[in-house]
Amino acid sequence: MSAGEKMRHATSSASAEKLRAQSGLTEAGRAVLRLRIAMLLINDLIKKKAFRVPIHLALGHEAIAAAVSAMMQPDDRLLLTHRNIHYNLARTPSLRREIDEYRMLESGLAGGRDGAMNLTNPEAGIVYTSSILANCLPVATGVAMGQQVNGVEAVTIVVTGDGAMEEGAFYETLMIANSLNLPLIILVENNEWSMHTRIEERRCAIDLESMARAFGMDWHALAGNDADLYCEKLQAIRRTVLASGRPCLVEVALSTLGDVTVADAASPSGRVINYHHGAAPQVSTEAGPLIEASERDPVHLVALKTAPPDFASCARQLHDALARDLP
Amino acid sequence: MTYLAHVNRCISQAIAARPCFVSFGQNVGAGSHLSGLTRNLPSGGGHRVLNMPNCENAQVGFGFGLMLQGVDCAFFCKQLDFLLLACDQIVNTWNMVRLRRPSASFTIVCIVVDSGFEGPQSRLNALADFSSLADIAVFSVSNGPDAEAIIDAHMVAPGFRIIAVSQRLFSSGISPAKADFSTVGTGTEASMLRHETGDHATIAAFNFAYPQAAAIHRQIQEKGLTASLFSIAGLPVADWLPMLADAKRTGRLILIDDSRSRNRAADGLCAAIAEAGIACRIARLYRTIDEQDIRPHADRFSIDFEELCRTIDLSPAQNPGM
Repeated sequence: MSAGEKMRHATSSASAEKLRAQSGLTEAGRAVLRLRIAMLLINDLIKKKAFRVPIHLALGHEAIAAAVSAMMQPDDRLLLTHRNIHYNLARTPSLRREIDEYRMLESGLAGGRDGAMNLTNPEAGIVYTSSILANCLPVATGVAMGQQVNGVEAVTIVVTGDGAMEEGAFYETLMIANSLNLPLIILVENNEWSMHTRIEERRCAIDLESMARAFGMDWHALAGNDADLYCEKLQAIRRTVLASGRPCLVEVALSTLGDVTVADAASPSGRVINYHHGAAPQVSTEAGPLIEASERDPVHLVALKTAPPDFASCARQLHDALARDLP
Repeated sequence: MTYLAHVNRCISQAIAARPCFVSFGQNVGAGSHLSGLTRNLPSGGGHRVLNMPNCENAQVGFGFGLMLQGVDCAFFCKQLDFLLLACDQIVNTWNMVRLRRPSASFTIVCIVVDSGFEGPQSRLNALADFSSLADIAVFSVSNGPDAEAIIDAHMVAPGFRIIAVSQRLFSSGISPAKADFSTVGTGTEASMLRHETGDHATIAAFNFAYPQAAAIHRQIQEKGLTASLFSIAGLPVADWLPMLADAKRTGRLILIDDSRSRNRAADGLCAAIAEAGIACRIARLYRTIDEQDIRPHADRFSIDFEELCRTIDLSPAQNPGM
């Protein structure tokens, strides 16, 4: 069993029956749904070859992005990776500005200068994004230190993945953050993929809990895609990091949805691969916001927790509003 | 005062002039203080000196992060070759951060271990190699007046640069600036520095070759001739015009570059001379690059002055006015 699978078993959220007890859409649930629909609309545009910059969709990553955005206070800082669309969309009300950025227009979120993989939004706290694997991690230590030097009481959050944590920069960052006691949340999105290879295909298992312990830092696991629960947990983590002035490691188990099956010489019957970037070929807006009726899909959790009419109505309203923002 | 003590004093003064500054690196506040380079750096109040773990890539990223938060800082690195571990941050992060036109300063101050006895680590000594990676501003400090000009202008200034000092020169003495000493050309301040003005040759020193260039200048004087002497301390050079004008006037150009690299900045000036169609005799005094460079060795960069004079017809007989 992989680290991610172990985590899912250990910390999976409440049962469907328990979730059904609620009815109206929560703020976090609404954010998840908005992110999903926005990315589906962008996916449609990618299929129509509307963009020349490579875009890495984050279908299935909505719960953590919604929770991070909800947790952030005005002075907090967020540093991102090439797969940043979910956080950038969560931190801006305008889908159009995001799309315009991908079209390299001056009206884009970063004036058309950043494109997709390096997209920042300093006004929303996203001060640095890097397309280079693990590159943002060391920069985050400096940002956190800079906040300290400037006397700002805030946390810095840096997002990375189970592929980027294989780089030496991950280890170096843990060392600097702990050596200097920086209020830094290092958030590992563990989707078990690095481009087209799964963890078990490319490396040994890495127990991040043990690794965090080795550095004397806290480790927290999030799994189950329950955005409401993630919000609660992240807010508590933020309070602890601020109070202790110590970094922590948060490992989030998630699934990048929209996998495709490809047959090749090695796997004539077909092999599931992550599409990595570009369009998710088998996903479309017409099919509705739900991609999988399973806990792998954050929207499924939102649907389970919401009365069906409320869910359908909100999904329709969000779709219509976002669609009006399209070019 | 030694070269190293002078550099240390210039750096300390530049940092002390700022209300807030973070100095960091391995052993910057302990032990030999990088052979004295970081001794007595300002600390306390708004000034911090951080002894860091051994992780060059993360330290350079740390510096860029501080810069993004508007905090002036410097990473003191014991050896230029250690920066090879940080190339991702030096190239990719700077390329992204520079687009934001940062108002804060991030300087890497590093020692070029160029005495030769370190073997393979002495092989890397060319600042031009780092400059060309991402059009990075680099400065080689090879004499006292240059140190003052470069550190005063760039140690704490908006943006990012690498300022390098030569281990080979640590214990050498420094001479005061001559009357002619000035920055010439447009573009980066303290990039192209005039030390002397003369009529019979133009000497341009690249990387850390200034001591050899100054020696040639003295030998030319001993022949009863005069030469202009320039230190090309900063790269990339935006404008070669002052050098072209001087070489055209003297009719002789002596390029002296101690880089152990095929990527020599001196070749850029050579190309500019050719493009401008300037007729002058050119002598290229470069290091021999061979396998010996990657074994411990004594510095082999020596100049045969008489051979140089023959190459560019430099003798009083060819210059009857003297």
